[in-house]
Amino acid sequence: MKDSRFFRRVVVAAILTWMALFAFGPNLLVLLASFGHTTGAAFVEPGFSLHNYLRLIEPSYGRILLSSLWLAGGVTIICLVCGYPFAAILARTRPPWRNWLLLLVVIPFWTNSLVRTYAMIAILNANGIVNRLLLATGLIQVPLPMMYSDGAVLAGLIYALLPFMVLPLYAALERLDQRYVEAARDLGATPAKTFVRIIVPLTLPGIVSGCMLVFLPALGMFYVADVLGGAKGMLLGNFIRDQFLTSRDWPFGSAASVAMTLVMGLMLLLYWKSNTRLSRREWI
Amino acid sequence: MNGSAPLVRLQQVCKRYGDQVALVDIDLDIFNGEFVTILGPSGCGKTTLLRLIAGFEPVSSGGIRLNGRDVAGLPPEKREVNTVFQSYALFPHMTVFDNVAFGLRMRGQTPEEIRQGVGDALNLVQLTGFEGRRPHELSGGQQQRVAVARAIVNRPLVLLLDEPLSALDYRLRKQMQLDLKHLQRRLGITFILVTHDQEEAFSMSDRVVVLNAGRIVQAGTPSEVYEQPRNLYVARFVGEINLLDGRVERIEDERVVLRVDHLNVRVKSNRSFAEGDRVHVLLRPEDLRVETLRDLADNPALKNSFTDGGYFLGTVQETIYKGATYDVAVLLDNGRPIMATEFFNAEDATVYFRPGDRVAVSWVEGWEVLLPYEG
Repeated sequence: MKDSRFFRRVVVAAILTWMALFAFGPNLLVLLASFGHTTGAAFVEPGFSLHNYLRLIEPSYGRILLSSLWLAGGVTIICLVCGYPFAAILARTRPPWRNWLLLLVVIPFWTNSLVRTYAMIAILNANGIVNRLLLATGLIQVPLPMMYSDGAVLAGLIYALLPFMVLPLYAALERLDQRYVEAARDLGATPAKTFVRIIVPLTLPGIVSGCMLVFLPALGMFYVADVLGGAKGMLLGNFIRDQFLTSRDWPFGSAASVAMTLVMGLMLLLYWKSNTRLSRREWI
Repeated sequence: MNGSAPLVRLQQVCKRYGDQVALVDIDLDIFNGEFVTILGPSGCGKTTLLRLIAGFEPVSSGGIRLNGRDVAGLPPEKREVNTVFQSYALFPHMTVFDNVAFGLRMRGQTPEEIRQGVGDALNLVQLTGFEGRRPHELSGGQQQRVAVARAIVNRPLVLLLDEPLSALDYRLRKQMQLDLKHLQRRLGITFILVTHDQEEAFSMSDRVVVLNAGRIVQAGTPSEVYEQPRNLYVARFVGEINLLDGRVERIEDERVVLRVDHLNVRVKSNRSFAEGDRVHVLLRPEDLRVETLRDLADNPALKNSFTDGGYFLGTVQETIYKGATYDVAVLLDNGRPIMATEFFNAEDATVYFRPGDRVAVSWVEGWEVLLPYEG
């Protein structure tokens, strides 16, 4: 009895120490650094000014922030539009086939995502699969320049992040009780109205968590932009990395980092709200 | 009621799921204003029957007519039928008001009509004032009433109820049975209720349709089904029965003389039997007469009041107290166990029989049911 309580305390203490040292501590340092400034002598000179945050919304930097948000938003919407029907089909498929389809969704996770991003080059470059196919069919005479463009980054992000949209949507749709759908039809709702009035609201937690799981990494997956977008730093993630590794402006990078965390926090709040609004005994 | 055309007509309806046969050759006419109960054990196809009428699933063969119109291929939203689901299926993200208003909104009614309609429907189920609640904030009984309101607000031709009371506790279920019946009388809407509870079927409906393994075994008024079951299955399903086996000795006018063990008994039957046929004699526990041999010896008039065929001898095994009545379990000397229901004496509320009592068992002549031997 006494031993187990001791053991529990040790475990809890170990976890708390770990969290304090490696999660809370670093984040606190980043937060503190974001209020400081950099000098020739030190990466970070402590202080308190909102200078770095104001720089973020300067046109030159604000543009990067906006374009990154814009790109991530596009990725999220395309993933949602493609992922929802896929997840719906997945949820309707009978178990043996469903497991195979799920496996297809999960298989890419077995390969490192950086490697998979490089694989995209083989598909998209001038001598790649897509171009060769189009040339062979005679649809085009000159290879399309697909690499090192916004489109390539968009495609790379969608490819990398689609499973993160499909899986929560699948979970929500699979959990959706078909009786609600039948009840709506019974009460005179067409399939379209049933979708809008019943299925979407009831799968909202899945939609929100899927969007979060896509949107947030889409802001930060700098290596996708590096590999497929060439040298152009287009994502918030590239920008933050560049501040730390290239410009050596740690306070500014920290401010960008904190700003990104705030966006995430805001979305988590949204998610939590949509979840509690819908949480109830019947279908949790 | 029977003079007009049926509101719901099922003709030769069959439903198969792959190799599995759910319903076979269902022929059933349901008339306007009727309260019909589909009674059967789980897996007998009764819920499937409702789903076919509601339009959730297509029939494999046969036809369904609603108000004279063939509804084949018509989706549920186009059928003037509403369903109260077994676990209500109230939309969890909507308030009570929005749940009840859903059907009216889908039909494009004006806000004023919707407010009026929802108000009336909630008033009918005594839930005025609950408009702003969410389904999970309601008790089981209240949820059930919202489900009813959500369906009747659309004034359907037929209301389908799929075991609507099975999730409620005993007292509430009794109350809701009455409430639903009164509601049906008031609205004049045709109700088709599905249940596995024979008591529920009898107390609520005008007509009971007994289903077994996808087939209609018997359809009739509750008293017809109870008092003249068509076969052993129905007899067993709708209540406790005692079973004696016999052979037809001879036919005398309207009576059949049976040989049951050592006894010759005369029974009435509107079925035709031939001499030598093997038969079942069905007796409800409440139709049995049990007297102790002690009393019979003390009172010759009592002995003479028994049927001229005589009586069976047996020994009381145990008595089971039921409140207003008690059951006496008797083991007949021929080895058959028998259950008889006795009422308490007006002056004496004690159980008269004791385990070990030697008793004579017979029944009130004419209350028995004769069925052909089923093995």
